[in-house]
Amino acid sequence: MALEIETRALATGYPNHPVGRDMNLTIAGGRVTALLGPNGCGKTTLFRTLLGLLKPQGGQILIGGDDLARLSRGEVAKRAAYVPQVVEGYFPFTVLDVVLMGRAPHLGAFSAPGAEDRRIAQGALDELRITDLARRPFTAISGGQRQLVLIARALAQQAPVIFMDEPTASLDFANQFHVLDCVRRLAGAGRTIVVSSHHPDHALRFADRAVLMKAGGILAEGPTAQVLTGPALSDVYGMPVRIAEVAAGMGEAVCVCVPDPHTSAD
Amino acid sequence: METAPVIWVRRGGLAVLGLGAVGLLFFAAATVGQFPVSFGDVARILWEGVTGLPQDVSDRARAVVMDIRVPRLASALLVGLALSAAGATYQAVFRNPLVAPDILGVTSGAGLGAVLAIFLSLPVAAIQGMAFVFGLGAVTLVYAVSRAVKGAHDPILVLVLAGVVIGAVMGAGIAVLTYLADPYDQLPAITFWLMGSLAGVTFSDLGNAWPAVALGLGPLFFLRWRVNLMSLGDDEARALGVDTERLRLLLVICATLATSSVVAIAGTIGWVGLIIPHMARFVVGPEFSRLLPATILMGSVYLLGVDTIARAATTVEIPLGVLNAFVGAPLFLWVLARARLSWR
Repeated sequence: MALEIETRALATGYPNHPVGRDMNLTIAGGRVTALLGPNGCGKTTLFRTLLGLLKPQGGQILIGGDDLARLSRGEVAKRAAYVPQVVEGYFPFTVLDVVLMGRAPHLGAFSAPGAEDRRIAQGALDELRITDLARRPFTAISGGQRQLVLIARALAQQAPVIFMDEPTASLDFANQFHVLDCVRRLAGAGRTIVVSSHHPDHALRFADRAVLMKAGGILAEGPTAQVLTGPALSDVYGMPVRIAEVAAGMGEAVCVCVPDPHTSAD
Repeated sequence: METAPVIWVRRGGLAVLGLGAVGLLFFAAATVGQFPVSFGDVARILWEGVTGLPQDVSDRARAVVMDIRVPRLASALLVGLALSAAGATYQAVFRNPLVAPDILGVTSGAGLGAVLAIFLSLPVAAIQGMAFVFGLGAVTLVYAVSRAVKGAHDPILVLVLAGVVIGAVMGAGIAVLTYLADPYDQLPAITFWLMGSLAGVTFSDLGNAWPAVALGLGPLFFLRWRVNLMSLGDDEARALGVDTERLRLLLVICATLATSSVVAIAGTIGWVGLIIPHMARFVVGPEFSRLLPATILMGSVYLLGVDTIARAATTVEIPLGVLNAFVGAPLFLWVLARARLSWR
């Protein structure tokens, strides 16, 4: 079942510090949606609001038709999982222990994960092809592997919606594409995936839909190729860019966003 | 993958092994001291204590074992396990491997509360109550101060420094009370108690302390798996459905209750709450369901061992606080050198 997320006249931010306003969004179920915008445009605030970590300052969020504000923490966690940016943990939990933590919303306060939870966690590791990392300490694996482990934890959470906060930040070139391939595969299984990103190129490559933000508002949303156009990106980033098509060989073309050489920056 | 029964059998085996080791150590420790008592006599005296059937042992041996050694050994176990379990909890809750009851100011806060109660000549229950209230006040202040320092580069360091500052203020409060205390009546009690000692602990003290320790550790035991989630960032834990503010408050109250109730009977004993969780983590890993029992076992064995050495190694008793620092400091340096790698 693919859950759709809808916001109605949503205002985000803090009581004395509004960030986003009047946001009407529809995040399509079962698709990958990329959220783009310059630093400080309110992406992270929107993300935290959609996850229920921050109270909306106005408007409404509907997740699968239910008002987010009426759901308890545990109920939200069963619907939406959060993949944070890779951080360094202080305690060397094993990878399996980290993935098992994804089972928390399904367990009572006094329970620990059982055999079924272990099977689900193992399945999540298998799905991301990192089965052999299970016994390694989370602190001793590479940044790219950690990102995959955090995604596996979100899978173990079995939430139909997954939010990923810049999953490719701080990853090397190859790992960026490895993670993006995983994101694509996961969406194939009917999950709704929202990814915040700093890379128009990535969004053009893996996202079905895109949301473009500027100064706390939504500039455009829709199918990626229609939203991420040269003029729209130039406007948002305050720098002339255009979308170029690059032949990737084997008859395939890849769209990339490049600075426009024909216009000066002012 | 291991099946559940295999895991349970192994855990059960480890628990029996661990408890057996504690029992054996307890038994052995009861035989040593200024007045040696043979293994056989200790066994007979303990048997008599448990069953009530009179045994053929000297009254002196009976008095030494039952009135002096058993309460002291039991208090070593209780104090060791309470402080180390509290330390492991604070470390998980504050996401900080460098905190412990003494570093967060809980010990000195509880100390101030207890000294104030002694100063006001309040009854034993009030000493415990004041220790808890002041201990909780201290850790709340430390946490509030560390949260108020916005945009700190190293939140771990800020929390530790806040603990040092609040601990110093509590220490100054204790100094004032020591200065004002009646030198013939209250001062010796305060001083003796501040050095941290198990020598004066009686059965009745133990009877007061253990229910409070159990009340503190019980929720930790039941919530043991959830405690892991607190080691994640707040946003991450909340996105996993955890009410972080409530759980943190509950866990801190529990750990502080366990700490302050043993501080109220044994005074300020440092190091245990810091080093034992590290050593336990080194053996069983950071997963709290495994860490908590390992910490409790190692904490009780550690303090029982150190106190027995303090008591019996030389003809004059070495103060526990002194020996504990001599043993604890190098152990911590060793842990620091080893663990630094795995934190990052």
